[in-house]
Amino acid sequence: MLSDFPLAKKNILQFLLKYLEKKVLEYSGGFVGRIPKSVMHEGSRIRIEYEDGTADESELASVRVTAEIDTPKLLKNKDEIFLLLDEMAREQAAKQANLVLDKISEATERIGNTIPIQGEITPNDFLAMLEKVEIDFKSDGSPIVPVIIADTSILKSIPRVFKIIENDPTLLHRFQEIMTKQKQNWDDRTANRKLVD
Amino acid sequence: MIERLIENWLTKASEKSFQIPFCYMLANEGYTILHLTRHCGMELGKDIIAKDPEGRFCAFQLKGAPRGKIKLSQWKKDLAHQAHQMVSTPLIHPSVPPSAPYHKSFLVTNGELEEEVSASIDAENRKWTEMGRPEFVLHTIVKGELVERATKLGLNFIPPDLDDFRLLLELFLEDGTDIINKHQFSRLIESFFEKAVKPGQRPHLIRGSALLTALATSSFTNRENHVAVIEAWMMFVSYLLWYCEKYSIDRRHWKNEFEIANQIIWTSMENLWNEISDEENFLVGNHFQDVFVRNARLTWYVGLLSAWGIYLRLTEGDEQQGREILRFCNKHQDKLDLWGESAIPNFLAYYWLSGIYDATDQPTKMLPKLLRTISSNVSKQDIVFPGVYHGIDESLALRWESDTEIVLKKNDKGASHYIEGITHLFVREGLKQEMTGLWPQISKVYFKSFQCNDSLDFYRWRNRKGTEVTKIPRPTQSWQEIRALSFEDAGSGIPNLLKNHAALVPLFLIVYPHRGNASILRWMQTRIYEHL
Repeated sequence: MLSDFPLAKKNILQFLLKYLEKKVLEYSGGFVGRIPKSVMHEGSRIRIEYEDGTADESELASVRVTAEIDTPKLLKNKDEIFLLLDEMAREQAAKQANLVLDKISEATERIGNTIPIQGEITPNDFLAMLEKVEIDFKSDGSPIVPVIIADTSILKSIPRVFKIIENDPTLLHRFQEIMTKQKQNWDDRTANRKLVD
Repeated sequence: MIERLIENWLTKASEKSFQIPFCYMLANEGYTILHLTRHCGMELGKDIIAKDPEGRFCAFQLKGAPRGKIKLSQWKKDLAHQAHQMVSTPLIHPSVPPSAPYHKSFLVTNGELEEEVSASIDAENRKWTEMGRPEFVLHTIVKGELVERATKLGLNFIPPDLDDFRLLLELFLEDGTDIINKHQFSRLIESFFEKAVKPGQRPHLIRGSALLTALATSSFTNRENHVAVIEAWMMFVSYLLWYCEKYSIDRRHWKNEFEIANQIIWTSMENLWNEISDEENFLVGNHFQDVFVRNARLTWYVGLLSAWGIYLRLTEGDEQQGREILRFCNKHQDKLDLWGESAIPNFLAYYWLSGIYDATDQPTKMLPKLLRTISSNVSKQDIVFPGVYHGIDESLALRWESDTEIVLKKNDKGASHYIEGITHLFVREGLKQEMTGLWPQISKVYFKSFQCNDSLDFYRWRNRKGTEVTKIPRPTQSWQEIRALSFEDAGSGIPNLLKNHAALVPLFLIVYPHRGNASILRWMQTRIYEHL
């Protein structure tokens, strides 16, 4: 029987898993990483009951990627393992992101929080989006800007949309109005934390 | 293999640890156990008092023989005197009427008696008979009989080649000084109860489960690790109720196992009390490290003893011991450590015990303090406040964890399993003005709970099926509405047999902190107040 080194191998596995986790976060553009996480110790379903009395319930979904190890290749160059982990991380990041986006789409469509966009995104589409989302503010009054997740072609056109809004007094005024309204809503949400009769 | 393990266990055990299996052997033979000793020298040689199937009272004195035999020198030095006390002094116990016929006396040993000892007992017995006092005869039960009786109890449900046996061995070989590994113990006991047996064999399986618990926890019993013994037997009780409720098993088939387990729990609690009630430091091992964890240890004791005080009040109407426990808790209240969500049931037990004996507003004042601390701890990222699924040792370890990723994973933020329930208990007090001040902070915390698919799953340590519920509180909350809800006390989700034993619930929550939710807190509060 060949000798084994369980302690060393345990640490190696932990190191590789951490590497994989880091890469998944990197390839998901930080978006998945920004979602608060918690470990579920029991059960297979999650229900969220909202303050308005509505509720969302869902089953746990698994995200799985597999890879095959080419042992002779790995013996020649053990760094091959990192290339393999990179590949797995890309696939995992895409699957995780898709899962989250599907959930968001499902929820937004159900409550009618969607905007149909034909072709390229316009300043009006962008402002309509900004109006629909709930924006939180920091204690100094500055907004916590929402993350935009979009197709590459849409993302590329966002700077152009910003520029148009900046240079058009009417659009700029509407933008400012929306942000003022969002701030008011935030102030209301904060001030509304109270017990009434 | 299991027979060899039982033999090894019984023959190597001290009288403290074979007392429990011996009780189950008696119960299996139709005896009713009335009393277990606290081993504190007050029992006049009687370790167990029981009633035999014919209704005659019996006293048993247990003697460990770790070297295999009780020698004449040992017999003469201390045992003969204790045996004499057992045979010649009447039984004094509330269940033994003064008019009852004189008791039968037994000396029980897990070893053999040296020939000279047997001869000495025989001579003494002959003397009593000749004097016309045959009731003073001392009967003996030795190693061989014990092993034979134990193997009849139903441990044969464990096939020797399965994982169960490995789990059992691991627990059996524990050093016994640590806290009990509840995850491991629950796997063992649950797997045992899940054996597919015919309905007629279920009572036999129940007896086996009790013996299995005694065997698995024997290292803790030997070490007089009272807290570990209490936790293990509370888990046994929970699984016993689970099994009996699941199959609607008639109470007469599990009454003995349930009552002996209760005796073990509450006798261990009394032993814990005797050990710590006059303690000042509560330090264990190296003081250099221990000073950082001793307040958590003390908090645990305050919770456990409070649960005992509540139990005594709800079952026996005892007030004196409860008041003494409360004095102990009050004396140490400024040292209590809320190490995480799993500490909260300890604070609640203390609050409930205070509510029973303290008519001032002191008990009520505990609640807003608790609410403020919980809401602040779950909100601040830099405070280590692990969730309800992390036990005391794990939670304390997290405070000293240098790997920030591990801290982030276990340090659940933004939600609490207990804040909703404690809010309701406080709302019941009607202090609207103070609640108005607290609500902005409380409403930022999500209310968590676990909803079992089947109410019987409540008894189990962990469940694969079930729903994790997160309730987002309303920012603007109506006082009338929350006040009406705070008085709801149907106890939905609590299984029936546990409801029938309300006095056990505070201890159950300390052992199973993740079963805490608003419904059980409201229900428990009502059960306590209806006894006052």
